[in-house]
Amino acid sequence: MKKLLPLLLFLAACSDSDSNIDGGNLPPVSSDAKLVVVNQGSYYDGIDGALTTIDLKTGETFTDAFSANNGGISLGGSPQAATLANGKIYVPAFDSNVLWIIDAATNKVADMLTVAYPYMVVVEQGKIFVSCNDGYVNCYDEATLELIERTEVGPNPCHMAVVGEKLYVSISDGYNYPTYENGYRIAELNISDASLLGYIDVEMNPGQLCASKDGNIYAVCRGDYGAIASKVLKVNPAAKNYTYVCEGSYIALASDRLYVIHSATDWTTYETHNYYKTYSLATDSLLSDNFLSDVPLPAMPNSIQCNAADEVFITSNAALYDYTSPGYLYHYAADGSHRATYNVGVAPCGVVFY
Amino acid sequence: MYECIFQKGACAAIFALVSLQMVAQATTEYVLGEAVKVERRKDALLQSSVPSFGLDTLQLRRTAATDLSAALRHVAGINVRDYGGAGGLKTVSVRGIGAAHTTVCYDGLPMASTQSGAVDIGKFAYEQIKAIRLDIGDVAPLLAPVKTLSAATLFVNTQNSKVKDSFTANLQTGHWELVNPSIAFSKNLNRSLSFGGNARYYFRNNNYSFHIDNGSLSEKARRNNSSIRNAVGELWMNNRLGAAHELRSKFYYAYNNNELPGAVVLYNNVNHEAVKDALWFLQSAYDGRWKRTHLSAAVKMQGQSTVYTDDDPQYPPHALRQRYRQHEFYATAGAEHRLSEAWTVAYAADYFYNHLSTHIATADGVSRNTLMQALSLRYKQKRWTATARMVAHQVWNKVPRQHSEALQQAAQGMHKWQSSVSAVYRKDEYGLAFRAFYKDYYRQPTFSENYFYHLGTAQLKPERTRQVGGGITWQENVGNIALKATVDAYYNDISDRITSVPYNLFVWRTENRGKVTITGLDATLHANCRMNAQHLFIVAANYSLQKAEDITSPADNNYGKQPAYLPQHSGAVSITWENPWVNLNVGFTAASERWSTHNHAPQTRLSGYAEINASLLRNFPCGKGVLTTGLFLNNALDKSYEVIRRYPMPLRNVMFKVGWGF
Repeated sequence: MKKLLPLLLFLAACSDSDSNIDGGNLPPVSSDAKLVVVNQGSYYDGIDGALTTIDLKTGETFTDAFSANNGGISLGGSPQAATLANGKIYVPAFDSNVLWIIDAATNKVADMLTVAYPYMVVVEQGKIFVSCNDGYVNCYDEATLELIERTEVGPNPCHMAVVGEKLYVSISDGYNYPTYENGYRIAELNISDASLLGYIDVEMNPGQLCASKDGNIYAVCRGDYGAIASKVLKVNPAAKNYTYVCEGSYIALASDRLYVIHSATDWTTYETHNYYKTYSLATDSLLSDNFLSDVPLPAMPNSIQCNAADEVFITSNAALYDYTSPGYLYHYAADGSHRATYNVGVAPCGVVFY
Repeated sequence: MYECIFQKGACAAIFALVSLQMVAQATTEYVLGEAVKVERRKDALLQSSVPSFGLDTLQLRRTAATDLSAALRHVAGINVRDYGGAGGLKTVSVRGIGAAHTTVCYDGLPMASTQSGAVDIGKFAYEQIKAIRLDIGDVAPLLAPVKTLSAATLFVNTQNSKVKDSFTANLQTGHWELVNPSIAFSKNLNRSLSFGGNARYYFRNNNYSFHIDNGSLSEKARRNNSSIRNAVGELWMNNRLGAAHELRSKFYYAYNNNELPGAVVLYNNVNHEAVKDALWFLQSAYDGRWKRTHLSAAVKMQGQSTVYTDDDPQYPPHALRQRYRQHEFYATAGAEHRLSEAWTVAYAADYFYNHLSTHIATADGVSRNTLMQALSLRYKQKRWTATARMVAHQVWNKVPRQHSEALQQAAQGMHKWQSSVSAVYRKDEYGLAFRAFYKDYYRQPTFSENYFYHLGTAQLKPERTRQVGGGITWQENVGNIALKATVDAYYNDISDRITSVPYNLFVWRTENRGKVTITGLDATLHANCRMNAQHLFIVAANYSLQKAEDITSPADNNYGKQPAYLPQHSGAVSITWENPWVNLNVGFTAASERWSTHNHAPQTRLSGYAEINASLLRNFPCGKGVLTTGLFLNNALDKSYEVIRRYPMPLRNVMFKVGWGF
């Protein structure tokens, strides 16, 4: 795959931009002037992933910035949430077995690695850690991109978080439904040498991990997507135990609070409701059971993130159970008031702030 | 120089036959020197009260097709879903109403399709097929297996009506390591008993090149993990019990061991999927005729075992393995009685027992009993034929007792009345005919739709299809050209459409959701021009217009849009020049743009395509038989296209065939 790189580096970049903010007024400028939205596309429908860039100051968007800046090439199949580190954006394209390394300033491809089923990237201490769905965490040298270590951690590792000198990886066993029997755990790795230190037992099908400043990890255990509901746990990595926080599907950490979206389907009526809650990080107590009131709501939220100013960004599909239409990015202030809605790509799944 | 003589009726004088050439279906031709006599003959398909399109052995050859999927594109109204060349899944839908509404009959009796609803026609040995016919809305015989009275029925026949002592051996080879030997024989033991059989082996690595459209990285790539191994054997026996009674029996076994290349994924050409599939059936059909009465009965047992594997380390324990084993017992019996010169009545009943065992706990051991009864009445006089049918369709589903409480619910049964009426008026015996039909049909949900884990729903109602159609058929001889043409318009309405809705990545639910209407037109033209004793030109063309609309709800973003993979325009032309040197056949097929998503997501537009196939055929006398040779050129213009998104079709390729037979 590396043979493609020289060609990519010389690709001409030109594209028309468009402004597609919902509403006539531009939102107030947040501390993050720009952001990149990763759109997963739809593997089953043959819709490739895409990156959408948004300038929050002007409202200008590039709906497919990756192709526009890289000679019309595609991002590939099912890209996952991206990571920004040291001026580079790392985008794992899951089905294409590619890790894109993109210059954040120009949105041009700086490098690309062939990686088996990459899911998430963490860059720490000069190393790039990639969780791979074949059961491994790959560790690359950030400068040379050489593979340093490939550590077997368990079936279908997905999200990662860093606490101190340790890297934590959720082991979902997600392709072993309905039992997920080899999951139920979070792997602990030593960042310095990528060695496996042990596991922390959690509940069924762990996914998203968020590390808080006080050294805890908030983990979403997704259940079986059916009768066993998705829930949020607060994991103490030092004590290797956890406490139950609430039911929830997606989480984000702000400076003092935990944002939770709980997407709940009644499997008798097949009606889905989304609940937007906030919890105090200090006390784990409920602050609000509906922090988005009287504002435009996402139809089918699939990620929530906060920027440095504690503003909230939620990606959503266009409509409930619509996996092929272009979706939206909803921008809310810290108090839950609506700032803007942006048109993005198909199945947006995450945001990078820079 | 050409003198053409027309004479109506079947009792035309016969001239000496000087040159034996291929005979057009609509006419019987006799050649004396440079004089050509064209005798008009009734084409049964043009006399039918419902649209009926067929290709016989010669017509199949003239399409220049090398597989059944390509040949079916020359049949009006058919939409073939082709997942990528040889070995890829191929299913048939008709007039936009879904593959599960099409019954596929192999040598007269229906193939089981209870698990998935569609029959993979790519598995049939094309070189053994003698004729295909598509009936839409009804079938021509009054007495027919009730299952064939579906929205559309595709008949695939491998046997001729009259058995001759014969033996043929063929070998086909070509691009991508194709090796395809086959033999067939038939023998009359005495005046009443004949038997025969055939066997074929097919191997192709099938890693064909294709074009990847990816901006500045667009390139020609090659499929991977695509090999096909297929072995088929058939034995049959016909027993004529007097002049009007016949018993036909057949045993069929096919084994497929195919790698699956999967959909094309950019930057990743690795795939580990494979499927092994064994299919067998044993069938026996009796047909007896008396002066006013016609009896028929048949039994069939069919089994199919499928193992799907994906040796991918993502799956525990380092591989995915799925197995499906389905069995069907089928019996049909019926009687037809001519009440008077004009009136005939028929009653037929079908019984099916279907059973599935699988690794999927929620679907393991499920079974279904189906009883279909049809009462048919036909009025026929010189100009008119009208047929009315009433079908009682009853289904009972069962799940095994050992299923847990949560899985115990059997799928909803079905007790429905279906009806159809059709009529044809013939302006004269051979020329114009006008036809019209109405059909009401219910499709029972498949086992997959009822029971599969995180997909199936036991409470599904059957999907209802109503078809209304009318058309004109015409045949005439103009000079030395024999012409046939049909034009049919139709309106189809599908309600309670069975649709699978993804609630999240892992949980789907199959629902009765949605309504679709389809307005369309099918037109065919066949021209047969005998230039002289040695030269024959034949042109056959078909065109289909299908304007389908999802009208479920104006709030849906699918509303008013053409459903996925349904072209508005499609058609085919075949041109044949038969001559003393080498016969040339050129086939042209085309379809307009389509979408792979119902809501027409911009990235999922599939461009229209056109493909040209050509063949050169020459026979040589060789010993007591004939040596046949053929050179086939597929996709002659080397065009890159997809029928199904991300399943590219092969670029230009060549196949050579040699055979000997008597």
